[in-house]
Amino acid sequence: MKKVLLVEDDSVTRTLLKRMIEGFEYDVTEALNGKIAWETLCSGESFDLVVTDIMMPDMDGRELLHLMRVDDRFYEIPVVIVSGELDKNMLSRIAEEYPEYTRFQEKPVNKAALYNAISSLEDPLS
Amino acid sequence: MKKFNALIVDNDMASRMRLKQTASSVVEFGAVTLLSTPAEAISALTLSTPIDVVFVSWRLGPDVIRPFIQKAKETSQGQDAAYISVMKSASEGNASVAQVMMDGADGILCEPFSVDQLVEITRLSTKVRGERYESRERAALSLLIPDILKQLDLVAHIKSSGLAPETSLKVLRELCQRVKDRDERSHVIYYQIALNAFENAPVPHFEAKTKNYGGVSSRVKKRMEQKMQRDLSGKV
Ligand SMILES: [Mg+2]
Repeated sequence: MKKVLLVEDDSVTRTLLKRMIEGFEYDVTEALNGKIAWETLCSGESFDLVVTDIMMPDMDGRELLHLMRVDDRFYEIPVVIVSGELDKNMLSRIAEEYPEYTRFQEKPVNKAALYNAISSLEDPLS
Repeated sequence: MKKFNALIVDNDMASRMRLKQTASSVVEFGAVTLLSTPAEAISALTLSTPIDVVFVSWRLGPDVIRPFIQKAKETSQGQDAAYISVMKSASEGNASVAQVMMDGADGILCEPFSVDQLVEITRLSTKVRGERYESRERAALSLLIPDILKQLDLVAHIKSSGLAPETSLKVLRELCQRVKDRDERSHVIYYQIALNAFENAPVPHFEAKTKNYGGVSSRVKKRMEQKMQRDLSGKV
């Protein structure tokens, strides 16, 4: 079973997303913010996909994505960014900075759209 | 020399004036504030002026003294102050002394007292309190400083990889502010712990694992080329 690291500070959204992604037959590991997600990645556990929020305490989604994209260990892990109304400003910058292996989903997340985003990342060149 | 800032809580005006005059006659005391009720004392203990010692008169009665000291120890200035119970006379029995200790007093001063007795009991009581303060600060800073170092590494990592940190820098600022907000008495402790932590901090290990982001990876580039060639050959 493929493994997803789900990064979201809001517990309600996190639970919802977890159920959705598990419904796609993925094994989900939860992280409460970017910093915890980064530590989880660095701990050596491998993931096939990261689904992350943008605005979070301690370390935001843009910082997490950046660290992943400049790191030999993680830069090819696909990332789905889920964003709310408040994230608009940061979102456009992320879209410019990290187009590769990255998909965007607006909150509230639609199950079918999330599924399409995830499956389109499985082979970005297909 | 550090001077003791004192509060005197006594509902008898003559006796609190006597204590104040005695305290003011020696260099060991700084600001001495007179208060007639525990409520006034609690207010004074929540202000920003540090208080080293609180004198509580026996005249307030045991039913008032005990809850007062308990409540006072929960205030910002009162948590590290020494509490000295001023008793009626030295001839009072052991039971009274035991009661005073149970009320939460750190020391006892019996009327009538000499200047030397006043200074000595204040010095002893505040010494015990000061040690308690120091060990608490030491524990708090020992937890806080490693967090700051970790966050510092994270910010440095993000910066060195070419991104201007935002949230992580904000968190670093908040952590540093928590050190800054501490009483200036704990700054010496801070320097000791911080220097020690810096000396023993592991070298951040992120440099070797990162590279500057240079657009698509070589693997993707290669696959793109292959795909292009496939597309091209398909067209031919
Ligand atoms: Mg959020």
